[in-house]
Amino acid sequence: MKTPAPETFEGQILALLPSLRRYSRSLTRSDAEGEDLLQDCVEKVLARRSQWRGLNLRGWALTIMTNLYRNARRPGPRSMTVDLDTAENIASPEAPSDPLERARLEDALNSLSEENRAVLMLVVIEGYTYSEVAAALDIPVGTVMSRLSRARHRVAERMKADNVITLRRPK
Amino acid sequence: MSETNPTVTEADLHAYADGQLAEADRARIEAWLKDNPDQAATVAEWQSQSAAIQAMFGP
Repeated sequence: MKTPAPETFEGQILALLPSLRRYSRSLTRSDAEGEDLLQDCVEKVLARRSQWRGLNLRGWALTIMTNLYRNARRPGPRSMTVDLDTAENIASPEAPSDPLERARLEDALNSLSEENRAVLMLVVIEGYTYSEVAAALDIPVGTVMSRLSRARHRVAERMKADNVITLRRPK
Repeated sequence: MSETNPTVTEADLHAYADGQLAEADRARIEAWLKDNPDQAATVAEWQSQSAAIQAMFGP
């Protein structure tokens, strides 16, 4: 298949892939599962293209991905075991220099509810404005702010809980 | 000065930390933070959180 022209629907989806991939990785916390989620999402977006109202394709695609992820998780916790082939693909992005700090951060992020986590990720990783997050998740901006607040306070608490070194900058 | 800008909400502080404020508002919050070191520390903490998360998931 030829690369679709950028102005086509397929071309626009193609241009969104890096952003969608980052979001799927941040939701699933795994490269392999992130790819699966990304693929499911793209399939669904293409299948539903007639429902797209022509505005904010990225927000629409992210909403579909968020829902797919939520629905897939509903039956219960996924198995934590992976086979060796998959294990090689588990996300190991650029780590903060201190591995302990990184582990704490990961733990803190994992402790967030799906809702609060999604908002934090869209703001911090995707650089969405608050109104873009509101549109993407179909919630009021006030809800975006309260979720963002909860997420940040929670992460800060968890990071401090077993940490004698505070994150505060010296005055 | 905080006297002339008494109403700074937490939402303003998030927007400041995320660089989502227009220049005039940004300057207003920045001035307010100088008089409110506890909130300034919280904002700095959020920003370092964001930097760490970006390092973890960044492209």
